[in-house]
Amino acid sequence: MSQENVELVSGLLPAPDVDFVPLFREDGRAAMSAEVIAPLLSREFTVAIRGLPEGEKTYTGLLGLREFWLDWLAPWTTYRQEVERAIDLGDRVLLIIHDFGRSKGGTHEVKGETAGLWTVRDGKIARAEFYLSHADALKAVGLEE
Amino acid sequence: MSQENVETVRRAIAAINARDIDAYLACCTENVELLMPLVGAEYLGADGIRRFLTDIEDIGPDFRIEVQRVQAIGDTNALAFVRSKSTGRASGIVTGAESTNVYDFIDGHLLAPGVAIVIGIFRGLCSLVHSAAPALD
Repeated sequence: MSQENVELVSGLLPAPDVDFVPLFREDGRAAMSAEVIAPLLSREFTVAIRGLPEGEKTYTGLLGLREFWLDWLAPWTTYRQEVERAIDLGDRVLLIIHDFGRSKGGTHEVKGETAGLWTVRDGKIARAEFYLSHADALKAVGLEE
Repeated sequence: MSQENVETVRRAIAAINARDIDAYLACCTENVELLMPLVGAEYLGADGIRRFLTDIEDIGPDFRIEVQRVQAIGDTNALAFVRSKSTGRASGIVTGAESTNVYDFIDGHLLAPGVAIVIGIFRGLCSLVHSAAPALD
């Protein structure tokens, strides 16, 4: 089952060449994305950003997922992600991610790193926690490098 | 029901590979929707599905989907992990992409026509969302 969780989480991330900005900023595409992903989210689905200066920020439900991405993408004109590796943690899956974006007014794509800790319950995604560094995420799951 | 849904998904994908519109529509209700959020495209109803098949023929005549795994999610949803491959009609370049299709069976065979399966394909070059429904047999 845990390998299925890895496939579920990994499979729902857009491919590395997909720009997230129009996907979440354009109402039509956001609605389409929501319709697709809705069956895969549990009713209590939450998204959280960990490690912000002001503490954890949490979003709830399908609308919260879009709100999260709109907040996250606010500084960017393009944004995409590449998964370096997925770590199977049973009911949880940790995705180690490299992020690439061009900021508003920027001329070059810059590279960053984040990580997503996804919790799967009864075959559906119950929670996503995003960390601002690989080290923070690995520490959170007891896999400090 | 979940195993029936898995078999319906496999039949629908086989119908795409065979370019068999009737077989594909037999898996669908009248209000089938094929949604592709990553490219902002949608194909609605039987006419939409016909247009989808025409579009993939135009882009790559040998477009083919290889099913890696189909997984039921409860009684109303399924995921298909697939790999698609095609050769560009104009360019001759072979492209491939991995996709995850999300299928939403709304009450499956139990309701009258109009019941729908939503199929979504994430990842890959032709990521899409897609609605279809099983034949009411």
